[in-house]
Amino acid sequence: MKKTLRTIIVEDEELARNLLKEYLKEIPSVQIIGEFADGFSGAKAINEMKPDLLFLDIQMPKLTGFELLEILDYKPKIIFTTAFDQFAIKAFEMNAVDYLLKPYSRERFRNAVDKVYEQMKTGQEIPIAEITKHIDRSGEKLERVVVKSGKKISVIATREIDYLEAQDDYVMLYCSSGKYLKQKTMNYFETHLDPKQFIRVHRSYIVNVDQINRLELYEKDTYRIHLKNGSTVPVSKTGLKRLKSGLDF
Amino acid sequence: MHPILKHKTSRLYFIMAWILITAIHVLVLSFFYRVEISYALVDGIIFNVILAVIAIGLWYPVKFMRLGENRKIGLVLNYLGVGVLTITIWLTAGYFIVEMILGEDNEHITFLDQSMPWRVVSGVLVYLVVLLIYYLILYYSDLQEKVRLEADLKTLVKESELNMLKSQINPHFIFNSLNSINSLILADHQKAQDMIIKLSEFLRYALKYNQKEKIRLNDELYNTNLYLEIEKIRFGEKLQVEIRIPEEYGTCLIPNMILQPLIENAIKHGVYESIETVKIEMDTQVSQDCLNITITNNFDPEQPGRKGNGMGLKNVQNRLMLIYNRSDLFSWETDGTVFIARLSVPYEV
Repeated sequence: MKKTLRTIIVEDEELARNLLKEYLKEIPSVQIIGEFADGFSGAKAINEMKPDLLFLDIQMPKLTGFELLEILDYKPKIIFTTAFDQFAIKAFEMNAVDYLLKPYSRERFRNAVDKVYEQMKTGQEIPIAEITKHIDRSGEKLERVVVKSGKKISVIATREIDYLEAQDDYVMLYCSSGKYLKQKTMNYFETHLDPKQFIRVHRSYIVNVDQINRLELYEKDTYRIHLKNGSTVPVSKTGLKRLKSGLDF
Repeated sequence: MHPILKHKTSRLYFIMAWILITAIHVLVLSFFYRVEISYALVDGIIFNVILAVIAIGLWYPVKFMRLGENRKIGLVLNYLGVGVLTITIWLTAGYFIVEMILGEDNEHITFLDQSMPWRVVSGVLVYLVVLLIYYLILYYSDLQEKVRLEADLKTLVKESELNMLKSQINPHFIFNSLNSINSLILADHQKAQDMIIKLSEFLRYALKYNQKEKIRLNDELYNTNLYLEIEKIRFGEKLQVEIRIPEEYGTCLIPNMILQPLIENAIKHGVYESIETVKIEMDTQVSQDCLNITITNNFDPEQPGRKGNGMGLKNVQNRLMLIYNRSDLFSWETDGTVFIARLSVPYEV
């Protein structure tokens, strides 16, 4: 007798969910404990219900499948179901068990579930931080950041960030709507934010150039940036060089 | 390759021109200088045949020097050198052959010696005229080539752009629809069949109409509706559509597949990104010889990031530019939670 797999489906189309449920009917050891049509409610439910298995679509309202994984405290086995074939590499980098390209057959589906059982038998477990770390390798520029504080999940457009400040293992994002703590490194943001818009002016600070009001001499040789929202940010020597080349002055 | 030898007609003109020149040469000699007609004939034919051969050969230095694109002074010096060489060869060879035919002691040889300065002058003139003709030929063929290239380029650009625009049906739309059909086959045969028929009909339209540039509004609407109905099966109540287009405009001509990307854009940024109901509305009016179509949809303004208004809308703009050569026919704006796209096309029936 196979171990029962408690399963959540996160998929925005009803027909696609129906298909999954239909295929799952013949695999009684997989038990559906919830289905969700968007990333927000899906993420919340996964953190609370801690399923063993997750069927996850990528293109969804509110949060994409990848963004959803970023805010999970708990990591189930994941099978992606999507019509996008260009995300397959990224999905496996995030240690997905399988990647089902829509439309997929019953055999292909069964095969994916078998893989889950096999992985559980060999006992390969990868901590969530290890998985999301791999996202960094994709070259595309960051357009939004998903932050979770307590039970609240916020999606922040990067252009709305005024500046970022290093805080131990975290980075604080300062926006007009408030400040958000994200478990990422400064280097991550430096390499992933659009370098035309964000400049690392200090070991501990990255500034959105659109938010700069003026640059002022503070003490001899040290400068400070005054932002439009009134806060000030220190500038290091290399930071000043980067500012000069980035803003052409 | 040689512009004169290349064509039968140009060869003929060339020979006729030289026969004419030779005839004038002979006549001038016999009438004005009272040279005996047989001597005049020998003189005229020998010198002009040599000159004609040299004229043909001159094409090669002209072509060669043009390829080098030398500076002006270099060019003049080169032509001067070629000219001196040409005329020297011409006169030496002519003199030599005539002397061979007529014998050294002939009285005509004396005349030949005396007329040498005039022959030099006429040689220079012919040399310059030949150069001029070659330059004209080059200029003309360059011009033709340029016109041809430009026309080629234009059709190429147009074709490639149309191809690019044609390919804007989102493949994910197709695969997601197939997935929905896959699901419906198990749940509802009849609906699955409906959806396959609609999808096929829509794809056939999208593939077929790529060459013809304009179609009747009614036909475009019919096909846009197919697309919308497929999306409605996928998204159910989440997608609401209201098309208000008076029947009398149905025969107006619009570019084919021009509404589809606008609808697709509305669905992509409205329906795909929202969990609320999204309503797409379409209206038409006629004003100032234009058919104006407005497409609106509500969207979730909380949805941050995501590049909006990308390729789809730009393509519509480019295509209208391509067809009507006007950039003022398409615009879009957002008003709170509503996105509005305005399209006008010159009124045609």
